[in-house]
Amino acid sequence: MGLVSRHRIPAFFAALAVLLVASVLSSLALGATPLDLLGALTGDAASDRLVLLRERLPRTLLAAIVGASLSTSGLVFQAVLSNPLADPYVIGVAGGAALGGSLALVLPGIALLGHAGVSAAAFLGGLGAVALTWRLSRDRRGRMRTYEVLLVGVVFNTIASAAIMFLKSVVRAEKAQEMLLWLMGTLSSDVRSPGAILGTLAVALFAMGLLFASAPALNALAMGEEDAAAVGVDPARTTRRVFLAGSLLVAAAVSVAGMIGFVGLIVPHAVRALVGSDHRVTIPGSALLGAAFLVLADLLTRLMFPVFETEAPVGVLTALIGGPAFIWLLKRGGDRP
Amino acid sequence: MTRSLPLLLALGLASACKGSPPLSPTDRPEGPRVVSLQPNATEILFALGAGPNVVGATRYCNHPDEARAVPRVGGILDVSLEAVLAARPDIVVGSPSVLRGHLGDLLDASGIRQVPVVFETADDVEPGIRAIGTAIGRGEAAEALAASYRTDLATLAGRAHRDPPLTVLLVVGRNPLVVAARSSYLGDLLARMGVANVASSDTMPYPTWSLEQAIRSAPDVIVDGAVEAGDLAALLADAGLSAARDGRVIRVRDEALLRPGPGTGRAALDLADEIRRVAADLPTRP
Amino acid sequence: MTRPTADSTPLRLDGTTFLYPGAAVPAVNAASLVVAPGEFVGLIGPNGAGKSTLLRLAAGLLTPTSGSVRTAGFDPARSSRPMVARTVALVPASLAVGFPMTVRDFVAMGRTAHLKGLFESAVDRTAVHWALETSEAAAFADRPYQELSAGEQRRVLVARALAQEPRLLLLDEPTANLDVAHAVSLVYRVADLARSQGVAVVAAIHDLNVALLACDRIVLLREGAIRAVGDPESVMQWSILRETFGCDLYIGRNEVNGRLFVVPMGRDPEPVTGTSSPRRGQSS
Repeated sequence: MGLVSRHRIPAFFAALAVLLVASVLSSLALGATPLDLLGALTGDAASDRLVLLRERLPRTLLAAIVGASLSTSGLVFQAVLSNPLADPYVIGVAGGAALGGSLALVLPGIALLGHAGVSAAAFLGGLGAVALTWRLSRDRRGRMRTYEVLLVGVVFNTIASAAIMFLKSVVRAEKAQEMLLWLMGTLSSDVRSPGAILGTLAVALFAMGLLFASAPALNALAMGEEDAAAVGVDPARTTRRVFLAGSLLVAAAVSVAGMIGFVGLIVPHAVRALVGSDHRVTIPGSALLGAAFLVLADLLTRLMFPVFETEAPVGVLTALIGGPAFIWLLKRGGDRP
Repeated sequence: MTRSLPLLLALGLASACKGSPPLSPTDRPEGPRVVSLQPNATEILFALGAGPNVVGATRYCNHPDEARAVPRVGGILDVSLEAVLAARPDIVVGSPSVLRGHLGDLLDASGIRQVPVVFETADDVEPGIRAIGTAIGRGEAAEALAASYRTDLATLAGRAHRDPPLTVLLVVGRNPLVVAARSSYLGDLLARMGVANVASSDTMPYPTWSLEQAIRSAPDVIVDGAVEAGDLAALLADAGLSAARDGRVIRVRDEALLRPGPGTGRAALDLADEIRRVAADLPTRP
Repeated sequence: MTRPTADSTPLRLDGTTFLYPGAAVPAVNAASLVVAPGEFVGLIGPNGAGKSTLLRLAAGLLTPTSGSVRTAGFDPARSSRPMVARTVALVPASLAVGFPMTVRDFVAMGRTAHLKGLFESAVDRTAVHWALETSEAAAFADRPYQELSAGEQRRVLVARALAQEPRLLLLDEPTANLDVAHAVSLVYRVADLARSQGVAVVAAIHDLNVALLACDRIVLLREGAIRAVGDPESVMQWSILRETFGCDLYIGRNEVNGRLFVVPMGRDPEPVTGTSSPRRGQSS
C-alpha cells in the first residue's frame, strides 16, 4: 500500500503536474548564465531569446521526454521481470544502443551524418539487441522466461561493454572522449532540432500509450502467470507487448541522450512507495515524476557550471541524487513491484 | 518538497529578470571580443597581444598564465552554449567539429563570426596564426609571429641529427604506457629534428605499449612528456632500459611543446639541444 | 481459436489424457466426464491422483496430450484467455502472492476479462460486491490481502473467481485452511450458487465428508484415472473406497440430514498394488 491513500490519488496527480510545470519553468528561467526572461519573450534581448528558444526549450523538452521514457520503461520491466532491481538497461537495450552509437561515432562513413547518424544507429542498435535477447530467451511455446532474459541481457551488456572499451582504445583521444561523454549520458549534445524532439516524443507517447492500455494485464501478472491466465490475461502476449513498448522507450531515450542511469530504477520505486502498485496509476505517475526529476537534474548540472567550469553529465547527478534517495525510501518501508 | 518549489520558482524568476550584468566602461577592451574554444588559439591570441580581448576560454586554456583568469565557457567537447553567448563575443575561434553543430547554428543566428582553426600538426600553426590575426585585425603582428615560428621550424630541421641517428622514445602517458608514434604531432617534431622514433607506427598516432615493447626498442634517449606525476625514469630503469639507467631521460613539462602553438618552434629547438647534450657521450660513426 | 458453439454443456472431458513433460506415467489418464449446468461435482482421491491437473485441464491452463476438453463448447486451451475467463473460473490451491493490495482490489482482478476500458464500471463494482458477499469476505474488503489469515485469504480467492461470473466454477481444495464452520458454510453457499444460478461446479475436496454434504455427484480419481462416477449413494462403497484410498473406511448415514459420512476403521492400512484390491487380512 502506498503512503498516499486511494482518495488522494487525484490530488497526487495534480501535485505531480504542478511539479512538472514548475520544473519546466525553472529550467527555462535558470541555467549556467542569467537570462532576461521578460526580454527574451518580448524580443528585446535577442541573444537571450536565442538561448531560451533554441537551447533551453529544446533541452528541457528532451529532458522531460527522456525522463518519462526511462522511468516508465523501468517500471514495467520491474513488473514483467518480477525484479525490483531491474532498470531499463537490463535487457540488453543499453548495450546494443551504446554499441550502435559508439560505432557511429567512430566509423568514418556514419560520422558524416553527425548526431542524427549517432541517434539512428543507437536506436537501431538498441532494438537489434532486444530482438536478439528475445530470440535467445524464448521457450518452445514462445513465452519469455524471465530468468533467461536477465541472463542474456547482462551477458549482452558485458560483451557490448568490452567491444566499446576496445573501440575506445583504438580511436583517437578526442573520439574516445566523445564516446565517453555520450556513454555517461548527457543532455548537452547537439540534439536540438524540432524534428528530433517531435520524433522522440511521438515514439514515447506511442509506447507509453501501449503500456497504459496493458495496465490491467500487468496488475494481473503480478499474481503469477497461472493466476493471471486464470483471470483472463494472456501472459505471453502481455509480456511481449510490454517488452516491445519498453524497449522502444529505452532505445529512443538512449539514442538522444546516451545512458542516463538511475532514473529508471529509482523513480518507479518512489512512485510505488507513494501510490501502491496499480499500474493504471503508476504508469502515468512514473512518466510525470520521471520527467520532472530529469528536468530538475539537468537544471542542476547547468546551475553548477560555475563550480566545475563544465556541465557535469546529467547521469552523474541522477546517481548522486538517486542513490541516497533510494536508500531513504528503502528505510521508510519497502515495497515490491 | 512541494512546499519549497514555489519559493524556488519565485527566486528563479526574480534573478532571471535581471539579465546579464552590464560592463563598466573601464573593462571594455579595444577591438573585438573573442571567445576561444581551443587552448592553442588562446595561446596565439595572447601572443598577438590580444589577451584583454579574450572574454571566454576553455578550462584547459592555462597557457600563458594570464589565460587562467579568463572566464570559462566549458571544455573542448563540453562547451556551454549559454556561457559562450553570455560573454557576448564578436568572434568565436574553435575547431571545425565543435563549430559545426548546434553551437555553429546558434552563432550564425546571432551574427557572431566563427573562425575555424585546426591544430593537429606543427604545420597547422602558421595558417592558424594568420587566420586568427586577420580576424581580430592584428594582421601585422600575426605575420611577424608566423614568420618567427617559420624560422624556428626551419632551424629545427636536422638539429639533433647524428650518424647513426639517435633513437628516441617519446612517452606521453605513464600508466598505461602511451608513446608518440611517427604519425603523431610530436612524432613529426622528432622527425624534423632528425632523430629516429622507435615507435614507427604509421596508423596509430599514440599507441599503447607494453613494457616489453619499450625494452625491446632500446632507445638511446627517452623523452618523458607524461602528464601524470610519478617517476617514469625510475620505472623504466627498473625495467632495464639502459637509457633510463644511464640518466638519458629528459623530462618535458612545457605546454608549448606538447601542443601545437606559437611557442612550439622554440620549445622544440630546446628539446633538440637537450637531446644532443644528453646523448653526447654515445658513440658516433667516425 | 475455436469459435464457441451453442453447446451449453459447461464441461465435457472425452478420453482426456495428460502427460507432464518427461514423466513416465500420465497424470490424467483417459478421463471422460460430463458436467451439467447447476451440478456440484466433487473430485475425490488421494494425493497425486491428478485432481489439480484435471482442474487445470478444464481451465485450459494445460493442453491435453490426447483426448479433448470442451467448456461451453470451445477448447479452453486454444481459445483467447479473456473469453475463457468469462466462462471458466479457477480457484487455485495455493494462496496468491502479488503486490500489496486491498481485498477489494484483489477480487476486482477477477473482472479483468470483463473490463470495458481500463477502469471498473458500475457493473464491475456490483459483481465484486456480490462476490465478496457470497464468499463471506465482505467484512475485510478494505484490508490488505497480505494481512489476512490463510482461511480469510482462501475465501477471497473464491470471491475473485466468483467475480468472473463464470458458468463453470473450478475449485482446487477450497476448504483447506478453513475451520469447520467456514468450510461447511462455503460448501453450502457454492451449492446454492450452483442450484440458483445454474453454475456448474467441480471441486477437488480433500475432506470427503464435506464433499458428501453438498455434492450431487462424486468422481473418484486414482493415479490419474476415474475409478467411479455417480451420486454418493452408488459410489460410496467400501470396496471402491478401499481401492481408491488404500485403506478401510466405514460408511455411515447421518440420521439428522440423511447424508452419508465416512470415518476410518482404525486398522493399519495395507498398501494397495495394481488394480485389484487384496482381501482383508492378506498381505500383498
